[in-house]
Amino acid sequence: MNKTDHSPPSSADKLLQRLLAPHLLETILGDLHEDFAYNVKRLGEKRARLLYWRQALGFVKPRYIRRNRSQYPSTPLIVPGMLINYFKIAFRNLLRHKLYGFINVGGLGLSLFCALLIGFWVRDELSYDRFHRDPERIYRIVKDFVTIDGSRTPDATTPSALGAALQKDIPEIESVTRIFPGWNQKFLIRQPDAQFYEEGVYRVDDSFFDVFTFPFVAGNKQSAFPSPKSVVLTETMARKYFGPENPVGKRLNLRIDGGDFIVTGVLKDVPGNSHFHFDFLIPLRRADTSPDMNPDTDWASYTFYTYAKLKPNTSTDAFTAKLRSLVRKYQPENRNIFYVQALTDIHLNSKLKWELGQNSDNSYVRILSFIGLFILVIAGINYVNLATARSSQRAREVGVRKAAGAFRRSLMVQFLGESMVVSILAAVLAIGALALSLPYFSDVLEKELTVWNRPGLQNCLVALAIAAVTGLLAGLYPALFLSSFQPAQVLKSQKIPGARLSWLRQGLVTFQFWASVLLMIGSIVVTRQINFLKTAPLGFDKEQIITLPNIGGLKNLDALRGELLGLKDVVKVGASSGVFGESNQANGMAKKGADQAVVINFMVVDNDFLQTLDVRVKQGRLFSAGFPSDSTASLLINETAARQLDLHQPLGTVVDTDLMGDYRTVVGVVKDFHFTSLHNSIKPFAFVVGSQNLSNLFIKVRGNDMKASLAEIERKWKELVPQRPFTYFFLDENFAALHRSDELFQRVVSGLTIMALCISGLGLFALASFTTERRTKEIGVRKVMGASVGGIVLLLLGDFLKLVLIAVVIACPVAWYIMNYWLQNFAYKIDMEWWFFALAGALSVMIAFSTVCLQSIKAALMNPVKSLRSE
Amino acid sequence: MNRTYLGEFEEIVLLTVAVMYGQAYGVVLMHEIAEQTGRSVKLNQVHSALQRLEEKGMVKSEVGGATSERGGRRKRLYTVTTHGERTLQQIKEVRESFWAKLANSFKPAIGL
Repeated sequence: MNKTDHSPPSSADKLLQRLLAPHLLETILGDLHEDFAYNVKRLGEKRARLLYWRQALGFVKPRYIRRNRSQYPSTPLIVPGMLINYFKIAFRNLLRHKLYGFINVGGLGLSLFCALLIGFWVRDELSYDRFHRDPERIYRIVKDFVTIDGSRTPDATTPSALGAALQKDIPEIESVTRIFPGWNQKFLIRQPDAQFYEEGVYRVDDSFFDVFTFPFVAGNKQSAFPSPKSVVLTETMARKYFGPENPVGKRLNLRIDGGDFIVTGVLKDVPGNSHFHFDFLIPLRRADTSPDMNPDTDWASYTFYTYAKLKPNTSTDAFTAKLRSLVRKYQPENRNIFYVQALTDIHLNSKLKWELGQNSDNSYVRILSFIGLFILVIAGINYVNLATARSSQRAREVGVRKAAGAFRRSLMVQFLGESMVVSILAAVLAIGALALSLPYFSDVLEKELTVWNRPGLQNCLVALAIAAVTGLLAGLYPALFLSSFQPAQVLKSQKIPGARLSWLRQGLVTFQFWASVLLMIGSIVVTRQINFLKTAPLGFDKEQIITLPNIGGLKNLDALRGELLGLKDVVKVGASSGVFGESNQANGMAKKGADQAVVINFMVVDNDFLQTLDVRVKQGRLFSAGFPSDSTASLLINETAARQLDLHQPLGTVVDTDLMGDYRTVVGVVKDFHFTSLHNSIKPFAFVVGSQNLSNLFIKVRGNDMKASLAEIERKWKELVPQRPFTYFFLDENFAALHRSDELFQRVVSGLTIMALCISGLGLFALASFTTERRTKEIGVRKVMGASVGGIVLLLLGDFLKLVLIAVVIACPVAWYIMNYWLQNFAYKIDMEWWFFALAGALSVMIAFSTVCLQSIKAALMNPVKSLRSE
Repeated sequence: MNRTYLGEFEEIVLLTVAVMYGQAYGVVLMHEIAEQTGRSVKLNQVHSALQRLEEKGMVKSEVGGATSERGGRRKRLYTVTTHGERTLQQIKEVRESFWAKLANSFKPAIGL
């Protein structure tokens, strides 16, 4: 019988050999084999094998697996003396390879810095309105404004009666408060030594502090509004009007409701991450409420904001249903569709008409998070690439250490630790730089960011953790690979692996450039689009126009106008109820006799306003003093309004301007113009003449000396309106402010893109210099064999350019898709042109070329004798 | 009683080792026990019993010769120590004293 025919299952043996304690293994295996031989004779091979498995698996028990304690003491993993040595070697390595150290620490630090900054910003954006108690239970009640024909305009305002009705009828509500903002009303506050216009005056319900949490510095929420003449103000305002002394109990003249208010409390300033900001709070209820102006029963004035705090575990769907049936109960005729928004969603997701302040956008958060991630990954790749590429240089060190008695495990500890020390050093530098520069960035980003609070410190800790993980990952390869070297082989042979680009490194470099190209195309598109927004013709003239915003109710407006026109620099003066670029009033309007109404923004103007702003007429005429009936019976509309009102022959058509019988005749159609930012398409717009609601005076000036013109205007103002302070703004600047967040976004994206490019360029530079160095001998041999300098440069360049080109090709379609998606945010947008992609591609090739080229040429020019002599 | 506790299976293994006079090792012990008691014994049970006995100082072991059916692996041969012998003796005495006190030893079950 041939013995080899009957051998026990070798996989079972392998399993046992792997698991069992060495000092037991031999006897156990021997016994098993002997038993197997016996069983083969008795039962046949098949059953014997089965039995063997059963017997073998019986030994898979802790009793047999536990290793015998060695009688010799083992070397501990970390020995203090060796630790010092590790640090010494790590430090020497950094010093010896300064470029490498600089790029590793600098690149990683820079990227962590950017990522941290983005992290701070994103975290702040996400933290909006979360400082209130139980923010998840607070909701804002809003509506879609619906006209007869069913067109809907999402709108944040609600009638004042809604709040009262909710409190009365819906048991799920814990508390509800209404806010009546100033609606641009300016309150002239005069204290003996100070006189300012204030806009941040909100009228609120007594329950305001039950819904929202704004901590008091002085006073408390119970005693906030004891009488209708109470006022609560913020710390800043308290300092502004009362200096360092405690203002509680003092008088403050707001010049409304007939006189003095008593200060009842001082609040901490409204945090930056609140979606609304106020300086003064006064109660909604007035002392002299007339029955026809009772806010608790008024369903017609959509000038209030309603916030409700629901009881715990209330479903918003059920609440919305109740809300709608409540509105139906009180206002059967009301077509508006009411719904709720979670308080914490407002800042990032709400884009309604009449928001309380400018909101941000979720897409900014997402895009910036992605960019941050990209930058981190790019730097992480640098780190891993350099660490792995350079690791082969240390093969000899590994050989010596092993020969001197190092265990594999202690080498792993050394390499992992070294890599983590460097990455954590980078993180510490990044955090330090951030802590120093954050005040500057807070200004640029218009946020209050600081390292020295809880979220700030948490961010820093996360950055440290990210750095540690990067270090760990980067250290893993050398730790596992280098520590596996056989000392004899490494010490003897000249050939050390890692000189060529491994597939891993090639893939990582390609990814790096892919991300950079993506960012580059992205920032080109963003820059072009924002430029387009800023420079696109609006259809009216906003240059050289000084706006005086506080002429509301001025008795001698005509005199002021006349005097201003007399100045030599003033070309034209016009007044209106609103300002282009800000929210406008809107009404449902319909052609007389038609039942289809359209929501139309409108403005009350005087006869000269349209000429002052150079709004062009398309059909008919502008308003004119020559037609006295203009002030009661005429209407100007824009082309879009004419189209939407379905007016084929607009001139002479009679339009019901408020759906309540205010009929006016269309006397002219003006060309479409952008009265708001280019995010939105042009909406219908109308002008009527009036003298009641004029609140802004527009002065068109000529000449270049704006300062002198302003001084002249101010002098006239002081003469004629001594009781009001002189305030002004430039219309073009006001309009540019609409694009401020876009512009900020563009600057941030471009800045970060440049960072990303620098970091990936640095990485490529170091990698190229390293691989070139490793190949000096090869180059020497090639030269000896007759290779030309150009050929060698091409050979070295080719390796990298190939990768960059692949990256460009993959990045272009992705970038096209993403940026197309982003451009959908805008009603008016640029076309994506081929040169965006070409430019990005060319730039990345150029970066790759310039980083690699220098070293390639240097290597190619070297005398082969030098590189080969040492052999 | 101040002797070390011995489990029933351990006692059988110890007895078998004693019976086999220095020729006892894992696999033959297993076969011998299976034959004598008629119960199925697994190799790992025998080994763990031997380990425990060795820890208690009742057997000692030495490395023995290899055979080809063991794949050239050597055996571990076990012999009973004096302590082991004395323990077995004690157990036997205890049992016998009880048997002696048994008033009428069991009749065969076939009685009328």
